[in-house]
Amino acid sequence: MMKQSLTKLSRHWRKNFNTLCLIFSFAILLAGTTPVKAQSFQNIVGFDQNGKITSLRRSFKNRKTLINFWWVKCSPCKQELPDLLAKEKKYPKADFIYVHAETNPATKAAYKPEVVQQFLDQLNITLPQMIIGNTKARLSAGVEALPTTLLVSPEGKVDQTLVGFTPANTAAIEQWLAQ
Amino acid sequence: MMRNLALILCLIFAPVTGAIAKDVLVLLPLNVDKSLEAEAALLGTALQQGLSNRFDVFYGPAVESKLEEEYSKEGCTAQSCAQGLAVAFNGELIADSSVQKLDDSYVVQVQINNIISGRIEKSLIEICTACSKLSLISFMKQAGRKAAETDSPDPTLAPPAPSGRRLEINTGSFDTQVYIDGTDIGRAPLTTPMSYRDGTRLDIRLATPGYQDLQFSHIVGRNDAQLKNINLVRNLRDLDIASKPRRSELFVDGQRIGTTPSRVKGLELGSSITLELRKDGYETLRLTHTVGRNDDRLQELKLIKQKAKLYIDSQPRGGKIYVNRRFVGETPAEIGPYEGGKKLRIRVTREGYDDYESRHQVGRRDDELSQIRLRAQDSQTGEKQKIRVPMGF
Repeated sequence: MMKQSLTKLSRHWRKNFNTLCLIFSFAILLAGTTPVKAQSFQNIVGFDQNGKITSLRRSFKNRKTLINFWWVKCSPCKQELPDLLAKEKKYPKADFIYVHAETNPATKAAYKPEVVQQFLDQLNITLPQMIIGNTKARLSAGVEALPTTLLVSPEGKVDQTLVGFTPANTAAIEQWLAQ
Repeated sequence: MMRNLALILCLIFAPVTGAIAKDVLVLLPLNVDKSLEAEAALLGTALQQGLSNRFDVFYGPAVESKLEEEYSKEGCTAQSCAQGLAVAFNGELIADSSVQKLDDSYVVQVQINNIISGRIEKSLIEICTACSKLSLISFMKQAGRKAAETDSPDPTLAPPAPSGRRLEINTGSFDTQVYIDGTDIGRAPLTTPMSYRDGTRLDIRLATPGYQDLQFSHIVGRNDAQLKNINLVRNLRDLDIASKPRRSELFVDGQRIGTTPSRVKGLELGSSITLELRKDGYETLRLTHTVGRNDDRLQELKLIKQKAKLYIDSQPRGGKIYVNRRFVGETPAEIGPYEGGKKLRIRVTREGYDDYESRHQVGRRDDELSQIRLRAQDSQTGEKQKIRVPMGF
């Protein structure tokens, strides 16, 4: 009796295992044949430093582009900005877009351009190309930590996503820009 | 087992589908007329579902409250409000829509605007003829799907590709003025001075004297060859002409066409024609008509009966004539004119003679009135006797 039920159970598992094998084979085949679309950056809609509405997609000019997400209250971001500005001067063929996509907790809306500018003035920094959006926009772009830098190819493909201001990331940016 | 299968398939497809991001679209509250107020939310949701085919659509209370917030801001304009909304939802596109009831149909309008470029991405008007409110819901969904159909890419997004196409346009006429996206680019046959990227939608209008204006959208790269051989439609119209009474002879510009009711074919729109209707016993009707302007009036042209004067004479003369009890003169006299067929009561009286009284229909035996013989009164009785003439009809 016991032996019979064990045999039955074993047959049942073998049948399931066969089905699973079939599914996996099908899945591997499918994964191999389905072309995975090149990941392009998510659009961010916001205002530029002059208060004019713009978007990340429109600022992208089919050139090698560095997109840096930062926030006025983020310390590593503040430290990273001068470094990025230096790189921007060094590599004029690449575009640098600074995205301040954070909701102002006081107004529950995107920061006003003048508020961001005041902060930059304190740091004595001028960002040539800036987009000011809200947190929703940042999260929709899949950016969950600040600073985050996207290195985007002229085709719009995100080559690298670098989170944090670290020597490794700085080197990676340098290397990518130099390519 | 099925659960496992679903899980595995999800795992496989997750990275693939995750990479495909839809554009964000903010759908403003649907404008409806009073008869549809109760169904507005339902219709809006149906539209949202249709639009979701291509867009990540934000619609409903979240949009309404944000809109309210934007409008409550000091110095808010329609543009700044729309921009605030676009930034709040992180979408360049804002859709405005409405449903109106016209006769037994519903007119659905959807317009998608790009807040950044100021470009109208899509504008469509769909008519749901003889629709019930229930069928209107699925119609809204379809309208949403249609509005979500891929159109021309936004030309402001990227610089035009250097390898664009020039289009050849030919209508067979040398008088066709060609307009592309509202700009006059010259007379056909021509090759466009500018190149256009494949997939660009162009609004082409062709204006040719004597032919109907032709306006259509053309997607560059799709059947471009058709533009080389465009058939123009002459600006012709058929006119239906009817008269009361029927069977009047119809002449157009002096040429006999037939009897009414009749159809005159192939008249050039805007041209001026002279119509003439003739029928015995009726005044001839002549009128000038501009084809295409108020053509309906030709469908019941009324002919007026011919008027006639009556000559009344009596023996002896000097009899007083009364028409419908109204004194009109003394015999001999020409009276009228009266409309043909009109019935008149005619009385002629003279001292010492019996009254002559007749009911006369104008146009029938009018001659009899020119030879009325008055009979001398009976001298014995001295009484007047009326001469009653049988009615002439």
